[in-house]
Amino acid sequence: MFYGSQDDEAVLNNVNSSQGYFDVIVDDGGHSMKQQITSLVHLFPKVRPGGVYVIEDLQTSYFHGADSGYLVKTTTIEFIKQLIDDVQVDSPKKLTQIGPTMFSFEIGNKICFFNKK
Amino acid sequence: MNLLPIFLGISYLVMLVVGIYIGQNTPYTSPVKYYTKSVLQNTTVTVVDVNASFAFIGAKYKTDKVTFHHYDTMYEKYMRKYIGTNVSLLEIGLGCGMGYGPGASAYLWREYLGEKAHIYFLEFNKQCGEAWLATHGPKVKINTIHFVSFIFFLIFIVKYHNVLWQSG
Repeated sequence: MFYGSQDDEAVLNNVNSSQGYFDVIVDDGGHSMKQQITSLVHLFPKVRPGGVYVIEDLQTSYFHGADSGYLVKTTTIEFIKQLIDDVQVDSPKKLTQIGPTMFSFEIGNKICFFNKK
Repeated sequence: MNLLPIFLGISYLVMLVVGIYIGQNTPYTSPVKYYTKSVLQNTTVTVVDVNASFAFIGAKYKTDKVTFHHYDTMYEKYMRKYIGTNVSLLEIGLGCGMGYGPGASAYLWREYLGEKAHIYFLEFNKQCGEAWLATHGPKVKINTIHFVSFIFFLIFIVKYHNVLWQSG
């Protein structure tokens, strides 16, 4: 068990398995934009090659809020849209830190599976 | 005599009864079927036992991964290969604050993945997490913080105790 807030970098940096990596990480936490994106950016590097990172409950991106809503730039859904470019090796500009380490992702209703290179 | 309110009342009741009837007769078609009955002939694809499927075990522990959100088809696709392995899994959110109580997915992961799986949780509500761990931890065998990490954790508590306990 680890305790702390999932949008706190210091907490996330301390989350490590005794195996030295995680095969699977599932984000079913607070579901706010900041929580989902911060956790993804800081924990995706801890996923083992071939492993998967999952974000659940992406519908919160469409809720009306300070940093969420349809097509609002700061949402997790908009972040994932940037990854469409970033997983392409030939894309000239990388928009995210994690994009170049991502092999692929599969997105469905409210859920996304990110596959590590 | 104005019959309109009576008419509306009866209409409402008829719609309610029809709605309940339709609702009861259209159950959620579980994707378990896709994994237990292949349409392919002469395939060597291994077929999942219904009782060992993500959908079945998830429904058993009433996690919203299965009951409300129907994530089971995709979880089955990605997680099947880890069954019986020493997979290392971290989930953010133990489920403190959920209507059905914390720990539903902990039980799901343990039963679905098996005894060898290393299961970790990151939980914001320490009080709830500790209380759950005390009663359910031994049953589900959630990995506690290992030694090195524990030292970092102590350092972290000393440095960030005000952040950790007081804010989100």
